[in-house]
Amino acid sequence: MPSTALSNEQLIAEYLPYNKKEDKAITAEELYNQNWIKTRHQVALADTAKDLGNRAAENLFEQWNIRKEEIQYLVFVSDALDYKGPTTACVMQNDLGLNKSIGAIDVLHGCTGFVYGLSLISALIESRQIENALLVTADIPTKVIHPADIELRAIFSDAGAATFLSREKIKNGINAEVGKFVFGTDGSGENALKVERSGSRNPADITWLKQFKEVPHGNTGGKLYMKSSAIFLFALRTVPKLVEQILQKEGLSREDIDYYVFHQANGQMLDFIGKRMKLPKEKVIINIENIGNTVSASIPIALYQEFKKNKFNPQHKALLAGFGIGLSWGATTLKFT
Amino acid sequence: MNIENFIHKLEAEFDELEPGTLQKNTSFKDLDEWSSMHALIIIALIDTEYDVVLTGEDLSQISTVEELYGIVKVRKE
Repeated sequence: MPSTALSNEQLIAEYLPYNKKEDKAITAEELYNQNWIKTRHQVALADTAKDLGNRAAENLFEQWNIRKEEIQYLVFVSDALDYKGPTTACVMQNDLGLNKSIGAIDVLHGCTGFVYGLSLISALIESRQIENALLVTADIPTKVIHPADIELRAIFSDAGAATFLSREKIKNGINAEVGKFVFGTDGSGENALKVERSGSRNPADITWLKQFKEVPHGNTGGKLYMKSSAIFLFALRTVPKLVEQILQKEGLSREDIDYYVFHQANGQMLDFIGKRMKLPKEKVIINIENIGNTVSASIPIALYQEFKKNKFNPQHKALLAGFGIGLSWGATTLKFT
Repeated sequence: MNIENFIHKLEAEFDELEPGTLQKNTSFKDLDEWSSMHALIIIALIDTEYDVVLTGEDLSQISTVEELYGIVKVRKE
């Protein structure tokens, strides 16, 4: 995660110049109550999602003694690629000093991105195309959020995560087997959550960009728009069904799952979904308070934090579910061994 | 828009409720299952389905489903 952490008080201070007179003042407590977030992280202006991803990958190599020359494939999942070409994962091969014999692809996905990355790499390994792969999920939503959109600033956070998948188990430590997958897509939600003016359709032009010249990042990468009510209903409608679908596919019951690791979208909402599904509170992982919603990085970060607390034991099962921009959703399970 | 359809939409979002629980004169805040999240669900549903933005204050001033429908209908027109 980037070192710059922003408090609710800081967000409010930066929002004040945009606050219309008729609006009533927002307090830090109100912001917290909406999503249970106290601090979120902001990337340096010069850094991209790739840079956060590279740092996460270097940390992974060091902490787990992974030899980079053994990596056979790199999947970079992000909604903030460096270029329309070349593939960001290709650039990362050189940055990270990976072998020139690797395969490297980008996957343009947000909140469901980690599940997609696991699914693609599992398929590549199971079909014996490769023996292992590095999955990097990283996003920098703060660079496309305008300071006036305080609700979006309060939720979203920048981070990168790196995950190593291999046919071979590591000897010291805990391994996890990836289970089956379910997916869902509803492109009719295109306009409910979108980075406007960020690509080929209606690209940013001078007139549009001029509006944002006072903003530090200038919204040069586009501007995030979210119809919060629609996304909120989508999550409440989708997550319980998604959980049931993956449990059914795996032949498991709700009780068989030890940890529910959902995309960390909004703490209050995840808590409510857990209660609604009558899941024991201690099984629903909510780690959002000092991290924020880190889009494609949120599930692996939540997993890593729980791992550091020694929560996972062999035979434990975790259910992972991503949902959001697309609209898109997907789930899988991890069985610790 | 009519009130039957409105009630149907509300019930569809309230997983906890048996179909038929919500009636015109049901005081929704007195339901056992009621929580602050249900207020958010109502606000989100009405914004998404009817393009009417209600506030927490609006909700605090009403109690029955019929009154809720009344506000939405007036603001929609």
